[in-house]
Amino acid sequence: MVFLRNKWFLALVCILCWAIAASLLSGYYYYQYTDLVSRLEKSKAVINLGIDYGNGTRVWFNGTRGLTLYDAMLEAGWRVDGESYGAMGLYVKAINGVEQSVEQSMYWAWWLWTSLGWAHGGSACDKYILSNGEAILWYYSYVDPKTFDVKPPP
Amino acid sequence: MDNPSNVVNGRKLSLIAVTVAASLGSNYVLIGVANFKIMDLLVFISGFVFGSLIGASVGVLIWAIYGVLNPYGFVPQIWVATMLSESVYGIAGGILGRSLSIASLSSNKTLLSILFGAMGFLLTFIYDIATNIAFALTFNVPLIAALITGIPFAIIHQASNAALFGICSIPLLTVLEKSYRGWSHGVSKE
Repeated sequence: MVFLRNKWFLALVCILCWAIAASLLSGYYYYQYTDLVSRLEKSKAVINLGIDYGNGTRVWFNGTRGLTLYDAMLEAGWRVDGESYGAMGLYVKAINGVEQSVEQSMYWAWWLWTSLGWAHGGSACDKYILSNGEAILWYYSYVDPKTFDVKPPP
Repeated sequence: MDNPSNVVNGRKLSLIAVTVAASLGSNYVLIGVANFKIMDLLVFISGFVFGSLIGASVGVLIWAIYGVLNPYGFVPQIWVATMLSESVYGIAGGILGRSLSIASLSSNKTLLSILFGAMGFLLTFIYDIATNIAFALTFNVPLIAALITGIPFAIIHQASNAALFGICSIPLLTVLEKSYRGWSHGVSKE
């Protein structure tokens, strides 16, 4: 049989099979990926995000969308500098060029508005999943270096 | 004394009947295993041994029964599509059978296994595309969506058929050659 004598023909057939399988798989995963992205886009929460620089300047970014608080910060166009602690999440050191100061004990922390007032954010911003309608404020404030006590935003 | 051509035809008919019965039996046994069937291989082999016409007829005949008595339900359009698509295995088997001989079966086992495996893959690809198109048209599903959502099943089907065709074709053909000498097509040509 001619094509059995020609090993290139067999190689070509095998490559064709591989190409079909690879195309099918890549098409399938591309579809899965775009489907997931569109679903995630729909599931993004809309929140009111604010930033208080601790000097009387407070800016609100109402209607910011994001899956996590960190997403929303980036969506709002903030420049965020931090350090990742793996499963613990991202520790924010500077926002929009305003850096934490160990000497002055000034740090960034986020606060969630509740019916009782401002509540301190309990997790790293990239680990916090947003819910629709939340009001979150990043507040640059003094932290007591002995007790780690911190006052809520005014 | 019996006419030799009648004996050959009787033997041929009984082998076709056995092939159909084996395909149907295996289909019902493997009903819980999605997209893994030895039917395709048996249709291909019958085409290889008896020629494209009989191979295609075996494929149509199996689906004529299996499509009607199917636990997953009966849909006429899908039934017709699967009957026609299944015949592709038989036709391709017949075409391949014309150019192969028993001598080449025993002398080029590795290359032939690769060829049969690739044939199994490509034919199943055609079968899956055709049946997915029929599914999309029947249930008014967008064609692209039907093709894409069918990919995982198609991959399992194609991979399992590639393995089955590659591993089982030569032993099956060798056994058939021993049990049915004198056919005028396929492996005993030489």
